Amino acid sequence: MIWTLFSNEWRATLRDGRGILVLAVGTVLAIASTWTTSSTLERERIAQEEATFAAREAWDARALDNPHARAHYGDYVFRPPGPLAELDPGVQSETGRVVYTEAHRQNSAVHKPQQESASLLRYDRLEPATVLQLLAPLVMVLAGFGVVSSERESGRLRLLWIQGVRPLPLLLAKSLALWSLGALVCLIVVAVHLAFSGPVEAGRTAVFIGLHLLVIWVVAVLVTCVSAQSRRPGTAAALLLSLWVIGAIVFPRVAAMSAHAIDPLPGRDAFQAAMQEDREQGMDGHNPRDTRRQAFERQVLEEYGVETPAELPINLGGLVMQADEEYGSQVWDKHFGELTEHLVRQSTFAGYFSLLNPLQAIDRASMAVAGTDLHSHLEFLRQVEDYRRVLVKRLNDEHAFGGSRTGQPARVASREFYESFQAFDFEPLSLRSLLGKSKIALFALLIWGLGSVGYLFFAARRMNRGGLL
Amino acid sequence: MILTALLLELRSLTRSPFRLIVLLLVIGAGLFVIYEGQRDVQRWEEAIANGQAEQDQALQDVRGYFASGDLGPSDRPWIQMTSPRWQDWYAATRISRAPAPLAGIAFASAESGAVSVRVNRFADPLLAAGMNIENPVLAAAGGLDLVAVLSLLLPLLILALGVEVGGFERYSGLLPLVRVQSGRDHTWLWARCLAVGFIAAAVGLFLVLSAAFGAGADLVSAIPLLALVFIYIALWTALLAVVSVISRHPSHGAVSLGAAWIVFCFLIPAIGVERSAALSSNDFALDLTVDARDAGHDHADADLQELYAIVFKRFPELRNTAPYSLERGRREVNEALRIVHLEERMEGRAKVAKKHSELVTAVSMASPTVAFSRALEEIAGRSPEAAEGFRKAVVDAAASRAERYIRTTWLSTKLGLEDFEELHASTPQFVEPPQPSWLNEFADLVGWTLIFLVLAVLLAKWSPRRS
Repeated sequence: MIWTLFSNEWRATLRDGRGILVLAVGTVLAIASTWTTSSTLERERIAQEEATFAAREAWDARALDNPHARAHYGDYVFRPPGPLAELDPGVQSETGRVVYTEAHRQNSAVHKPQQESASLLRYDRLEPATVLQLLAPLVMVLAGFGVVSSERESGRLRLLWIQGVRPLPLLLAKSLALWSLGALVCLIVVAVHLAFSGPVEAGRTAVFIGLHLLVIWVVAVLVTCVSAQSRRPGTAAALLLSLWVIGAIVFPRVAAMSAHAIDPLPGRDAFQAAMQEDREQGMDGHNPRDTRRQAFERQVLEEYGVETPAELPINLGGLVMQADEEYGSQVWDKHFGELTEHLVRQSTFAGYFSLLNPLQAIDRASMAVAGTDLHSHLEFLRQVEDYRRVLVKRLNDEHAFGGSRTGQPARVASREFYESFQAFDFEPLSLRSLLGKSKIALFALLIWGLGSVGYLFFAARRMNRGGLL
Repeated sequence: MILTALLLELRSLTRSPFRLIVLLLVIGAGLFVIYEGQRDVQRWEEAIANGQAEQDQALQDVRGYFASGDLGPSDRPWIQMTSPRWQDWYAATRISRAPAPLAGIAFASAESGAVSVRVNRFADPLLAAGMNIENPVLAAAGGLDLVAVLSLLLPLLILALGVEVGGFERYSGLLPLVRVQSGRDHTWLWARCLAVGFIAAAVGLFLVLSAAFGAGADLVSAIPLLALVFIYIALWTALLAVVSVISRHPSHGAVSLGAAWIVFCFLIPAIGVERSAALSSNDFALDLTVDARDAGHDHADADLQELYAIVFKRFPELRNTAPYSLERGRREVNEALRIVHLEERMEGRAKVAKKHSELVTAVSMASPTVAFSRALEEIAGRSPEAAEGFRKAVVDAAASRAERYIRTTWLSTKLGLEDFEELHASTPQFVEPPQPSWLNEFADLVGWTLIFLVLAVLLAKWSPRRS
């Protein structure tokens, strides 16, 4: 019986001009968004590689210099797109693309090129994830608001009851028909993605599809049950469209706004000032009169058992710079660590809204799977900072132990030494690790999945009792 | 008839929990974001005040050095305030971007340029970050400020209040009754649409006045905002009129208005954002990073005379103070070239910004919602153009500083406290927000409103013949 009802529903959708229109629009949007995002990402990937290459060329082409001067010259790191950014670019348009790694300071990611069209950025982007998370549910709402209420209004529902159709199979079949409509859009997106993208991570893609099919099921059940519980199609349409607007537009903004209002981040000036204050408590490697530097120098002289820096077999300057660096690292760890915790705390708070809104749950889970969520960004920054510290330490060590002595003219390191530095290479977090960090979203999706089944039974029972017939 | 319709709409409003909830949601969200907007402007003013305090401290230090005769900090004897380079460093003046009177209405704008920059001859505002540290995951959700409430939620209010206009009358058979009683069935529909528009306009007026009074702005600053809000409501009311003419059933109204809202408020802007992402896909700021860093190192092997020629072309007055030996002025030539490169980068970025601006203009013409929100951001002084104007002011100030530094260095002038005070005073401390240019967007909105009105009238004329 379910199959008959299911195929009838599809036949009705295809016969109805509105159904065809909705399906056609959904398909066109799915193809267009996946194609444009894939080609944009492809260009971005090439540009990122070219930028990395340009930075490496500049490093290699620079005239040979003192290792600490090279540490000040520094290196630029350019953020690569996430592993599945073609499907969900996530937060990457909101984060800077470039990090400057240099001696004595940890820098933030800068340069958000889309800032120039900031007037548009308050709106969502037409990317495959938007099509699946916002437009596919909308297509289902428009195609399905009258799925039961129209039958009731036209009197066909009574006819079905007389023919022996029971509410649960009826609602299940209609939900499945609606779900298959959304699933079709989802499969088109993935098929176009596979056609236009390079090598695909099968695991991530499979989880991405699975999670979206689950949320599409939740939406299908909601649409069917709301339609079943509405006396008129107009009421169902108004209610479902309102729910869509609240879920897609209002709630995510309210969640972000609430997180910001309840637990605001420090201002940039205050953050920098606090860091500067702590930094000034430590050694100033570039000021020979700094008392902490002088104490450190005495300690080194004692260790080597000599009276003056000139007697040291090494270059004291390199050790001083590294000691300065290590103190700085403690300060950066403290302040950037607190900032990272704060960002995660805000994100977690906003994430609890997923329990109220399945569209937010899938948004977060999808970004995690695509490797484009907040945790991936923070991991990128962490790896860049590790890279900076290793780079500067190697240069300071070369300065200290590379053969020059304290007080001698700065020694120029060899070309081989500089060429031995490897460019930064980002290792994205594994899917398992990212899913582990998105427990709230996954839990919310599970609750919504189970809740939708419960709602289906509830709505069917109400119909069984004769309610809203 | 309008009064009857208005009373009917008000009665339905009080009787329908759904409509009341939407109305309260819009007003509540509006008041909340007005409050948050004020807090944001407060943070902006605090950031400026903190910068000023830091600057005042530096000025006091230098005045103290001159008074004590030390001419520099005791633990850094190589710093001498009589030299142009240290005067420039210590007289680093904060240039701040003064908030516009209604800056709070668009605090969630994605434009996050710096609001206060320390200016000396090294200043580079192109990568300067904004006053707020952003959480990308919250920013990605899209902001909720008064611009969002007015541009996205006000149309929804009209949708919620007017969803059944026309469709209900036709479906329930009321329209023939109205025609028999008054002879003009569409007048009743127009009256109902106008009544819905009046209610939405009252809400808009309340929110605009609350925002203006809350921000302490005068009424003159609020007039453009009010004009934009009224024309935007007129536009959606005209659209409601179109839908009311064609609806045969309340569900038609819901779907048509919902679809229009989605197309204007979601789909067209989303296509614009996607296009913007494509425009910036290959922009990794190599010009602002690797090239900018290396520009200073590229002159070692260049012909010094050619370098001087470039400098004199940009700073013609320096020609009179150039040292006899070209080699003696090499360091200052490099300083001047840094400014030349900075201005070139600025120019390059202006071209990129122009492309984005053209894109936003095109999307504004296609979507009245984008036109409206763009105009509001202009009024709030939070547009990318405002940020660009500020960056330009910083670059101009840095160029002026560099020229002064080079001139005094080449003249080997020993500088005193008066020179220091003069240097500090010569840099502007505030950049006022640019005059908001919202008339183009206003014209777009008027155009859309007229299109919908004409369409509604034509459909109304055609509809009796069709029926």
